[in-house]
Amino acid sequence: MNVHLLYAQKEWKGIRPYYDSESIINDLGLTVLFQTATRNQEEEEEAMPAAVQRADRHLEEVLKKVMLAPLSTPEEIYFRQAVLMDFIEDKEFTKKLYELSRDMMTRWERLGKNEVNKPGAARERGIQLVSRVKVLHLFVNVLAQIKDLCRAHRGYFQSEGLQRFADGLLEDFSDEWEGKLKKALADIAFFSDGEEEYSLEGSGSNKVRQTRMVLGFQVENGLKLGSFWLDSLETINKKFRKSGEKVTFSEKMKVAFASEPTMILKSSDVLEDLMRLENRVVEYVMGCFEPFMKQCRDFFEQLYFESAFYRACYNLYVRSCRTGLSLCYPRVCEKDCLFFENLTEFSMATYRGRIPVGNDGDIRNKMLLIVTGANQGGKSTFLRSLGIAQVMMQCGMFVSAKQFESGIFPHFFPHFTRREDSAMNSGRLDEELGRFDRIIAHLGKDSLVLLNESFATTTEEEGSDIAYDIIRALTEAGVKVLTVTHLLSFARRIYEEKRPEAEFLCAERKADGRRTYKMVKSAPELTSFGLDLYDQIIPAHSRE
Amino acid sequence: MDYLSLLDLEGPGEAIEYMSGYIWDLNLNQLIELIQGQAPGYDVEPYFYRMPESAACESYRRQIYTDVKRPEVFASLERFSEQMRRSREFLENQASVEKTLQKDAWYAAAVDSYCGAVGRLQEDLMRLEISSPGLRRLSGHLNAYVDREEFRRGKEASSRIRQAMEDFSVVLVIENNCLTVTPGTAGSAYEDFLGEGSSGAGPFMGTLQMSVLEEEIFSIYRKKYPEIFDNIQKFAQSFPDFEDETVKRLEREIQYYLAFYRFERTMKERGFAFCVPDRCADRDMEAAGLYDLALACSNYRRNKPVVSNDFVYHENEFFFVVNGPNQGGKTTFARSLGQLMYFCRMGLDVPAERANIHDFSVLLTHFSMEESMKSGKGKLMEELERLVPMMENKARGAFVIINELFTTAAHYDGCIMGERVLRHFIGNQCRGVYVTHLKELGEAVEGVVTMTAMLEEGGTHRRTYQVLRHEALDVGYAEDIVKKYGLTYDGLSARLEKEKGDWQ
Repeated sequence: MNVHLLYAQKEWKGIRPYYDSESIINDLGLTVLFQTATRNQEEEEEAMPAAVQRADRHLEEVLKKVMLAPLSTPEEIYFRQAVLMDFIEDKEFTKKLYELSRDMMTRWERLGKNEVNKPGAARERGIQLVSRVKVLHLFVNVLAQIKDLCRAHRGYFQSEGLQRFADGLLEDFSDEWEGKLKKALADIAFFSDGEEEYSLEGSGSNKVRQTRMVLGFQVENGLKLGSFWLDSLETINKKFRKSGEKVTFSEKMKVAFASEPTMILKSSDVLEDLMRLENRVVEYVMGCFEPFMKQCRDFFEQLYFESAFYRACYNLYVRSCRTGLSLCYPRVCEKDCLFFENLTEFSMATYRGRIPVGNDGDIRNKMLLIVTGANQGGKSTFLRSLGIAQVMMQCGMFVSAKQFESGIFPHFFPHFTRREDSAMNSGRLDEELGRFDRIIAHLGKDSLVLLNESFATTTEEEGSDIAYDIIRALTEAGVKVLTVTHLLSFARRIYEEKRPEAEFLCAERKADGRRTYKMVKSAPELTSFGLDLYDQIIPAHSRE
Repeated sequence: MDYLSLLDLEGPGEAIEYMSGYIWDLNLNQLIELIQGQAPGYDVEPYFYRMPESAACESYRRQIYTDVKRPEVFASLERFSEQMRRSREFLENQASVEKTLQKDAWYAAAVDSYCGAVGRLQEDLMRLEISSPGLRRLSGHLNAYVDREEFRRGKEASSRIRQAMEDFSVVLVIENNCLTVTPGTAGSAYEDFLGEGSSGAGPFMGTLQMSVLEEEIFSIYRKKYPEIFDNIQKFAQSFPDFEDETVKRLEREIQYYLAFYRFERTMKERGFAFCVPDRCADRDMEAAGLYDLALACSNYRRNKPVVSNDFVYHENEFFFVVNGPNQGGKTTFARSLGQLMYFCRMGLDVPAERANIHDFSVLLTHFSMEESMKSGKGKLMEELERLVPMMENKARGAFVIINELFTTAAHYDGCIMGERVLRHFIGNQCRGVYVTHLKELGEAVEGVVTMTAMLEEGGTHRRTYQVLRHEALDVGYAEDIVKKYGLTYDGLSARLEKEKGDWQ
């Protein structure tokens, strides 16, 4: 039984995340996005507004892991996009499937999912065994429910992933197989007597469960009973017997006329041994189911994980629709192309519930993008919106744009100068270059580096030289670099060299100094128009 | 009657309870521990503390070991040992169970296993055309032993009982508290889940005593089918005693060879060489591909290689004086020579690709002791005191290994004392190795060969662990230069160019 909803051919196991995922989260501001995903965003269906619901931390955890592990081929991306489209289309299925697997986990945990199996005392082992029987009941029950759900929704699925998931489950957990499991569970029902929470048929209070088992034993050296063969085992429901009447007449007759040696076991020592034997037989039967249990454990763990990703995406989708963002499923193109229409910064937009300024761009045959321009002009937001879109595309999600096309870069490194870094300080530069050194060590084929105000920890002149050297070496090695910079001599130098791989964008500034927060293709200028800002912020009278 | 042993020629060797110094100095204790690990259930360590005194005894052992190395012989001896151990285990069971019937059943099983072991070994040794005198004597002893009437009858009766037990199986039908027992076998349920014929571990396995339920089962079964139980009881009464002391002792001695063989086989599989040493006095004493076996074992665990060396004592050469840098392989070289002599004298294979070894009387070692501080004496004093018995030893022709004597003495004094020691041993027809940090030592002594643990060429100070005939090196100390990696255009380009090869 496979889930295979995140990848066509594999489960979520041993998937490698981006190098330094924490930086990606911090630099791109993804935490607010994760938090948005933890709550149901459908206003009309929920009595409580999203803000006061209890957050589902599992959704956050899963979304974080999946978003920060890049897919590496267009096929992988389109596969996941198709599954996501199905989930978004069929919201009833999405919610039901996740709910089933989440409830399943809760109950399973209550039955000791995470307890380490320790070879404890016999009594403890007995308790563990009862739990295992109950867990098996639970598995069979929930699988049956998921099967029914799949059967009901199979007709709506368009994606290869969900079609195969449903078909696979209907085949692997066939009705015939389900029947056999239920029969076996009925056979050992005597064992978990009185523990009816998950059993398949209730037990009447006036019935007592009796066992009949036939066992073959090898006799070993020293007259000991060795391994056994279980010939048959069943639980027989009989009418309750009054406590005084221990041995029935028919049982006595059976003994009297039996052709083979027979006896009634009475003494408490013998009965205790008998119980050990019964325990062992149940253990053996449960052992038979162990491969199936293992499959189930893996299956449910995976399902809880994989369905959570789509559930989280669904929440984000609903939130975006309510905000009024335009979303699209991005297309994969060559590494040196980047095309976007009305691209917005998704994280803050969904968090704040406001539509930000969108950007358009069509940048072909360029491996280096240098963004300069006015302070407070939206450069960093723009770079972040590109980064977020790249990450979302690379995990098969929709992107907050009308259209988006980009190459695939499994080696993705944001290098944002943090506010606390910008103080001029040689220790800081050391640290910054050290961070860079580690990035260099983790580069690979198809790398994308996002630089936001890097090398600002030293003078403009030195910073420009460092930036020039590093960025030139990187682009020559085939690494794509998107950089926002105030190092204008660096930008001018590249510009004047007329390097064909470089493209320049500028934060737009109207002639009157007004910022539009839009990026336009433009040669880098030698001023950041900080004076505008200065004029704006510093009161006129104190300037004289 | 002749004393029959597979380790000694005359009478039982003196039991040795202490370890001689060379056992520690040559790290043989580590090896003996590993070899002991290859003989679970037996105590072979004491056999390895004691070296044969004569070359004749060495040869007696080597001939046995040559037989043991034949796969058929080895397999036969292993099988024999295993059955003997089982027999003993069954006797222990007999002693610890309470019910008489159960005691008798264990006893019958023990006799059966013992008779099977001895009978099979006797047949094997006849069939395998043994050539060593030791194993032929064993074969002769067994031939006479199995011919005894008692043995034959016991073997037959115990094997009949085993047959009956092998066929003995019961079916239990338990319906609530009502138990029925019949002979026969049962089918298997839940085949869909586990496949046909699978069985479970019964709850009564793993304990020796009968459980109450088992008692009940056998007692009701016995009422209807008494025969098998009666036979077991009769057997125990008619064969009260069965073990032969000589057989038991030889079984233990065999483990000396089996344990070493298993150890050698494992090391060979890991790529380490062993050979049968030649003992030819007409050719130079020499070895090729010699290595420190104890170091090889510990390095293997840490996935590190071990370097092997060659040596030759030409005519009129008696002592190697080994120089070289610290941690350069001097001591290891000396140890490997000692181990070579030890395993040779033990009659076993030696850790080398090829070796010719001249006869020697005893093995003497002198390594500096870490714990000498405790004695309160100066280190030099302590070293000299330990040297005295070695030099008093009247036995000529010893093999002597000396590791770093007189390290605390002044350079000049150390050279003089060292030369005296060398002259003494050479004068007594001894051969050996002398590891030292004194470069000039022994230059003036006849019969001394200077050897050096070498460094890589090019001034890297990297050790090669090769010990060659070579005058002492003049080594200076060079500081390692640490370069900080710059993110310059040239540096980074070169780095990226290099790393691109690894990008996937």
